[in-house]
Amino acid sequence: MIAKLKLSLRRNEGALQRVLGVAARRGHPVVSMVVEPTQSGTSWDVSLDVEAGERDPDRLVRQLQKLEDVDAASKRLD
Amino acid sequence: MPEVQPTPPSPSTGARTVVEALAREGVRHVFGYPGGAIMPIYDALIDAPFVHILTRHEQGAALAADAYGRVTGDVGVCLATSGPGATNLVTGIANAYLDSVPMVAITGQVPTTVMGTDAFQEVDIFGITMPIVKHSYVVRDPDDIPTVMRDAFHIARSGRPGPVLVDIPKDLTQREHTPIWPAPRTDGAPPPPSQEALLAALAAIEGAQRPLLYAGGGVALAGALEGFRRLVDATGIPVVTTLKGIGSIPTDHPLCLGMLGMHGTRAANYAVQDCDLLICVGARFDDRATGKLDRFAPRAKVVHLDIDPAEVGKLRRPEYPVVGDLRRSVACLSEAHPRVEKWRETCLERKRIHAFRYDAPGEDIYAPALLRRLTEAAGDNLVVTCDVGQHQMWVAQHGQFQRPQQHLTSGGLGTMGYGLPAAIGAQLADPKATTVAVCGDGSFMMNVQELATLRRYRLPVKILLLDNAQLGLVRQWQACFFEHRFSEVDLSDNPDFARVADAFGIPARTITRRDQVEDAVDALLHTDGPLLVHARIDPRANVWPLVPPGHDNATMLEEIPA
Repeated sequence: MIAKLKLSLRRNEGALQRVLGVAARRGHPVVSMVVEPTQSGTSWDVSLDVEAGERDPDRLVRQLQKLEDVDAASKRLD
Repeated sequence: MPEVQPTPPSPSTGARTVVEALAREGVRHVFGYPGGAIMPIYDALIDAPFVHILTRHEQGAALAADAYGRVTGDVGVCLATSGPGATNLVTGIANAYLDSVPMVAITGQVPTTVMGTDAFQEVDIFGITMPIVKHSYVVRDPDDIPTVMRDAFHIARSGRPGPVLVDIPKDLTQREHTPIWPAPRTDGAPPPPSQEALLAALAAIEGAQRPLLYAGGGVALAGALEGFRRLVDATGIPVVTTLKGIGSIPTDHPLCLGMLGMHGTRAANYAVQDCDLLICVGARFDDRATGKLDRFAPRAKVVHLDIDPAEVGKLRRPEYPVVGDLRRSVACLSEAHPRVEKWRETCLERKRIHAFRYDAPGEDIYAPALLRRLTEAAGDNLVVTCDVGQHQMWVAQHGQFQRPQQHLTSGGLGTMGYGLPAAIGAQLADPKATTVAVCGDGSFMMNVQELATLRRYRLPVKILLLDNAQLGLVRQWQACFFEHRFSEVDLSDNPDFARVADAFGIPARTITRRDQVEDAVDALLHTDGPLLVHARIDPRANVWPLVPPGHDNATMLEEIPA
């Protein structure tokens, strides 16, 4: 089962690696990641698909929300 | 933080800006070790208005900074050069991360012109530390240093504290620039808990028949100690603590049942298994505390109070989650008046029946009795720093503490070698305290070089070295769970520790018998300057009770011959 997430991410050094690392370390291997710069160029809109496994993806969302570079993270409904 | 008067911008170098940023943050001590890529910062440190403490290994610097942060409640700072200097910080940074300690680690990096070329002493410390920091920076422009440093300190100390890494290439520290100092950040105050969540938790406590408080390190980190104690006294609810929660209420408080978990007390573990409402205050359901998770507190609903929303529901889904400032949460819940007399009597009766005994037969030094005597005799002015192993668990079980800052221990990471460098940081943070590092013989050798730091700064740190000539806790597990097949736990070829200390200029004595304990305790508490007491103990002595891995906390092994 795949969990679909969306993030608004500040365009800081290491921000993408942090997101990938947290997802993997918290037990949600990344299936796909689509990164698009926003118009301002200072942040990214990220669509992240991860394996849900047996762990609740809401817990991953809360872990991602803790990252300094993450302005918003939630589940995606597409 | 001291008030800093606005000054007109003036030319500086990146290195001098780093030092000024530290001064502006109110830093009084930094711990570090120089090397090639951080030499410009070390040059600027000569004129710093704070003290640099030279440790003899970067790991010592990071662990000392960790303890400094725990005692002061503010940010501990460590410095190292690039490459091996930076990687030697890693264990200390991870230690701070796992125990939520505010820390800023500053590393020199090779010049930007050679970054990415596998230059001499180049490693990607930014990438290496990514999983063990709250946040991190690579400075790319010296003009960014003031803001990066301000934010690094802010992030380290706000919310759930943690370590922040700042990696600075050498050429940027040499470059001239004119720093513009940003205003201090005023955001980051802990959010208040929701009133609705608090009222639900309050009602749950009012209706509970067997409520139990489960206090973790978050109580002290949140500055909620006073409020937590009011909660305990107002409601009369018994308390169990995690390893880091020890001291949340005085260990001799009538309602303190002791530590829960793998080496917890019987009274604490039975209470957890029997309670109908577990009120978790700043703890995280760590596996060493819970044992088999799905059999932990099986009859209880859970109230979970925490500043970190990611901890709430991470391992046990609470019926009553309360996310936000612990100080406000515990203050509100103090209004509860549950009827707990019968339950309290049950808990206190178990505490009495299962109290530890100190009348072990024989003439050998009985470490639990020694540790209890030491901590009782020292009183509130004592700070104990622990290594990791059996002695650490004996301190947790038998030590008498009035507040959490008296008991510094590597809880999450379990870092052997923490005790001595931590004692250095703790002593500098609280110079009036009697600081005692309780070490094991295995752990002590992992940072033995820091005896030179004690000597250099003439710190009056005391060391109680409990020497069983074994890796005792590993040996105990091999006895219990590997059919007594002992593998690489024999340390009987240890050096003569008293002579080692003497070589570093540290006075030392060795004791081997129980009748020498009282004199040794007296010496530890009343000798001016540093002292090492080397206590030889029975290598067959083990830590009991022990909850075997994969079992619930009611399954406590006792006195298996080993």
